[in-house]
Amino acid sequence: MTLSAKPLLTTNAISRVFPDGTQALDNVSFDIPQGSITSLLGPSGCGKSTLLRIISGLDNASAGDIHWQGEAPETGEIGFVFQDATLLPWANVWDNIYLPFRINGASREAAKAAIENAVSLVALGGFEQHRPHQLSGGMRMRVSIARALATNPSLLLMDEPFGALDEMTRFRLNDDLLRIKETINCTIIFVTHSVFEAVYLSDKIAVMSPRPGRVIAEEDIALTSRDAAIRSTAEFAQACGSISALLTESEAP
Amino acid sequence: MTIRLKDPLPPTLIGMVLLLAWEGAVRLFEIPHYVLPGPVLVAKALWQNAPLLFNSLWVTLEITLVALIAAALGGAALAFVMSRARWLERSLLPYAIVAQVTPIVAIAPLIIIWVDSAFAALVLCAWIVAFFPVLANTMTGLKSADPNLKDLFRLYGASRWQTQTWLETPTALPYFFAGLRISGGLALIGAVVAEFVAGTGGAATGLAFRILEAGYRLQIPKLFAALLLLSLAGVLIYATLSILSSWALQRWHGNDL
Repeated sequence: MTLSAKPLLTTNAISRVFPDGTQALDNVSFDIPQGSITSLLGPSGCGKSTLLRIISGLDNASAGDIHWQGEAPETGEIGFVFQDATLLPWANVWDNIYLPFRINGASREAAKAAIENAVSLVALGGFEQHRPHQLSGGMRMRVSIARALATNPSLLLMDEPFGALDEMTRFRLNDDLLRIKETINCTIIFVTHSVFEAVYLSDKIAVMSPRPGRVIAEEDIALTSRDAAIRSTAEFAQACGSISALLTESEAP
Repeated sequence: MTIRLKDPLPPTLIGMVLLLAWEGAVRLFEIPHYVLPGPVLVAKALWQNAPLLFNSLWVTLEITLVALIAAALGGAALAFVMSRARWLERSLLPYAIVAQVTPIVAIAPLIIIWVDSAFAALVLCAWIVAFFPVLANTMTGLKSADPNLKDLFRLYGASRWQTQTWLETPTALPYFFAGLRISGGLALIGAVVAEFVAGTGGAATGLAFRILEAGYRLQIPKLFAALLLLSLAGVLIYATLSILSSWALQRWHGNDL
């Protein structure tokens, strides 16, 4: 896809110093193109998650700010997928996806269509009455994604969502995410420490340095296709290679 | 933790062997029954004094149950109040701890003096002993909600009330029941200790008074019979609470616990 010229949001010199003096982010500036999947890629502890929390409003920047194209999203207009599925263990799949609606005061009847749609997007039809402990790790993550998408957010934040899953499940969910992205109008910011995952999924990658995190490169990724076959092409390997080189550079003293 | 007897045969066998050894030893060494009565004599005493002892058992159980229900409601309510605000917790918790650490034996005589009704006085004593585990556990539970889930609630703009009812309370439920199981045993101990110290003023007498009475009169078999009922009452309370808690948690949590 071609990236639209207008970014959905621009982070403007964001820094974050925690009360204990740890500097997590240092002067981070980059654009998130509207409608794109943008990955924040960097080593563990580089402040990727902190950056995501600041964008979501869960945390505040110590300095700098975020410019939104148009109006800043209101409460509930941002979807968030955590590294763990983060489901209510005592509630079944349907009720877990219903949670954002319930908080917003919507009746079960009013939320029904959106929930059914989200369930079918993540291919969980027939599992609505299952409790989280009855599902595999990959399926739990699908529920988490369905919950985030059901409210039709304009921005979806994903914090290493597939990091704890096995590789097969991870590949499948990568493909599912790309497939889902085709059908929804949503900008996705995806945090990962996997170069392959970032290249496979992203329209754009922001490469971050070790702590204190800075964005050291913003790379557009233009693969000719995105399917399982591309993973074994020279084109894919080359893209991964150049991103890896940037990461290695950033870690050099 | 729930202790379940999957196979009742081994403990039953051990029990039989111990009872036989006890009876045998008492007969073999001709131990006088006012020092150690054999199980047969204890059973006989239980049979002969059944109306009296079971009546007392009922009194003790009544005190224990009322105290336990009050402990469950009071402990949970107090935990909720304290979890509402840090300053409430800081100002109330020290007094809850003082009530918990002061030996009930020392407070019981005062309570008996201050409270007119003997029944109410004993319930109050048992409640003081029993409420703390429910309070402490429920408070821990209310604070144990998954931080990511809390963030999720915040992200969707959940009110304090919504977070408390839909996230924190269900999270606290298993903790509450764990506390309740401890409180069950403590309520019984509280009821018995208070009656030991205070008596019941003659009206309705519980098992503790029967034990004292039998001791004074050297009716040791009857004392043992009363003791036996007390142990059974304790086991009964624990078992009932275990069943109640696994039933409730099954409904809420499935079998993921």
